[in-house]
Amino acid sequence: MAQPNLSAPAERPSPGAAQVRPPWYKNHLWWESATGYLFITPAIVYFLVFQLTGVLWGFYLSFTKYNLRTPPVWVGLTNYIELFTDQVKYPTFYHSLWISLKWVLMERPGAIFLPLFVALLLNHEIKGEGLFKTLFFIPVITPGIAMAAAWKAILDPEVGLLNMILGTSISWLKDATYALPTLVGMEVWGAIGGGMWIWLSALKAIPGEVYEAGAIDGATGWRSFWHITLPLLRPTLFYMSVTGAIGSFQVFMPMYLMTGGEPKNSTLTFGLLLYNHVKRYDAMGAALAMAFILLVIVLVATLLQFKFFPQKAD
Amino acid sequence: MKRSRTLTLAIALTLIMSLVAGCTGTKKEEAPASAGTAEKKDPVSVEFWAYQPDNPENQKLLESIVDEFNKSRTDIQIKLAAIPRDSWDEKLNAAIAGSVAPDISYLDQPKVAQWAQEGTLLDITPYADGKDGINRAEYIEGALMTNELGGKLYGLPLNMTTVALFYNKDLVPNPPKTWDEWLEISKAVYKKDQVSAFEGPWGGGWGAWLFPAFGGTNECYMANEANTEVTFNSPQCVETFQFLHQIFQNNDWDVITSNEAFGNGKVAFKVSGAWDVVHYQNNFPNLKFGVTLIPKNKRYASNIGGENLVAYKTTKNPEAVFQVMKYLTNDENSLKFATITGNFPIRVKSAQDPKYTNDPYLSVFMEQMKYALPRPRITEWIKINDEILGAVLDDLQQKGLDPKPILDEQVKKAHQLMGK
Repeated sequence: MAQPNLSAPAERPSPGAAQVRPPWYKNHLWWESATGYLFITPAIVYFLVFQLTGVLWGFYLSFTKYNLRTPPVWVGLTNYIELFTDQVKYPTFYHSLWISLKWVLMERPGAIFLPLFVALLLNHEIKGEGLFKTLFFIPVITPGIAMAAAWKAILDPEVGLLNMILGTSISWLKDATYALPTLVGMEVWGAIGGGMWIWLSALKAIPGEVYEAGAIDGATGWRSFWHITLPLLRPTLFYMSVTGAIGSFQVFMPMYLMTGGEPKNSTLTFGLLLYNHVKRYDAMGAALAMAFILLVIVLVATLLQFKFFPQKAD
Repeated sequence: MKRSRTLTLAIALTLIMSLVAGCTGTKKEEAPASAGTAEKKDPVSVEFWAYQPDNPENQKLLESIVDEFNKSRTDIQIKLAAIPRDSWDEKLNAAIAGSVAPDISYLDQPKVAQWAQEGTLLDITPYADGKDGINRAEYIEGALMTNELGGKLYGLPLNMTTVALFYNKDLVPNPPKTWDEWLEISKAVYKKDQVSAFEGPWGGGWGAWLFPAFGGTNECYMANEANTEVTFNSPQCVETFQFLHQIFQNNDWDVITSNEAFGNGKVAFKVSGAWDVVHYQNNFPNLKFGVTLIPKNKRYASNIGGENLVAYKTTKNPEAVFQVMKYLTNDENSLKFATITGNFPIRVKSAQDPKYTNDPYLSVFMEQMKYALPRPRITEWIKINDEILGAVLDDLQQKGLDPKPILDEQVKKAHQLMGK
């Protein structure tokens, strides 16, 4: 079936047609591109001054001992070498990398597929669709502090709703076994609203004729989802997987707000360790080295996804 | 066509101009021309950075302290800058790095050692001990000591805080004074799944900040007097961990970790600061609770927190700066800064103010301040606190492991970190 080519530019009269060109035409293209460059100049300048310069300066500082007050002292590769080898100076370096990886492995599938599940349910023109969409979206616009208070009540070991349902008395955030999975659960729950909209818009973009054609060939229910919906959602899946993983590796806020890395460092992610080195230990050089190590990890993870994940609708 | 192109170009240029305009610094206001003549010397200006107070009354109080000084002196004038706490670190670090540091500012206590060692702070010893200096005995000892490094004084205390033992009066009619009494009551109050003895604190950086309060009562100190070695593997510290484990055994984990366990009457004891007095009074009006000194084995002790007032090495007028520091920390202003910052005054005499002596809770905290022990003035202490001591506190207190080999190992690591 021929698909409409949405990316094709609108047709316009070809400037190359054998017409008599006005005298100023020679400069026409120059003018056009110059104007274009002028439009993007503010963004380029902003990028160069406030972003790229910062990154390059940060890269330089990662080879220094720097406390943000006194001039940086060049130490070569010392920060990088010590991070990997000095277990006294950086006792939680590998541990926090492991915690971050665990976070990514637990949080990513939930944050991608749970919103998809909700979006699939809402894509059936059910009664009260608008209400459900609103309800699922509420967590996205609820202030974090209110959500934290609500979660604290839900997770209480004595009178919390979760323990009541499960018939247990677990200290979800104060027990090293449960703290990280609990934070993952909270994060995934908070991600439903945003993810749901992305999935819904992707689902709505699938033309009904595709399903009709599939139905003629006997693809209904699960088969239709597996052979039609999912292949056509691949670009969205790829987008959510790549952008989500980049953010997920850097996770900081949930543990900063809820556990501070405790109990027993079970929620001490790489992002939080990095923050501690800036804010508490005055070690900006080492923190920046950590940031660039994380950059490499995220880059490799992204490249792997580009290599192994299908990116195009099939 | 041509017109629209010109318009497009104009918009693009406007955008760029706005960017350029945004990046252009505003011209610094010229200082008003001095009215002084050759005979009349300009007053020395002392720039003072303070945390922005959390309400307008306290802001006025802070300004009144400065105004009073400025009115009474013609030779020195304080220039106050109240900086929001959220951006404090960034602004102060940037000012120091750019050689435009204020003359004096607040500084969180544990930072003094590091900042002094790296050469950012001014050594005020000669001025403090000089002709127009201070009487050190007028400051609460523990608070003043947080400013010392290598026998030199790098600041004056501005406010302080400490922790004491909260107890539930229904469960504990007579609060304990000694370890033996504390353990005895803990055993007596414990009812499985209903009432536990002690809410903590336990591990991590927060636990490590609080642990010296218990250790100190058994003469277990975090470092030697010269602050050259850490000593939390001493026999006294081993004994302290064993004692805390005994107390912990009268707990159920789900009870002590439930929300507001002490407020809901499920826990007999808790160690916390004065901030929790207001919290329990406001949120648990039916809770009958008291505050007492942390029970001792060998002596009374507690930990310490708060802010100091420090001067920067870049100051051009150290004498004048010291006079301002002395003024800001006198008896009267010590009380005002306690109000502004929500902590306690740092002068021995201020502690006798009726505000503290007449209050059944604050009077205990004020009494506890006398026994407060400063953190070790070791430049790597925050990292040792969080990553070395804090890392083993949970297991030592909760699992009851043999403390000695674990503490020996941690002390070894701390010494390696200190380059020993």
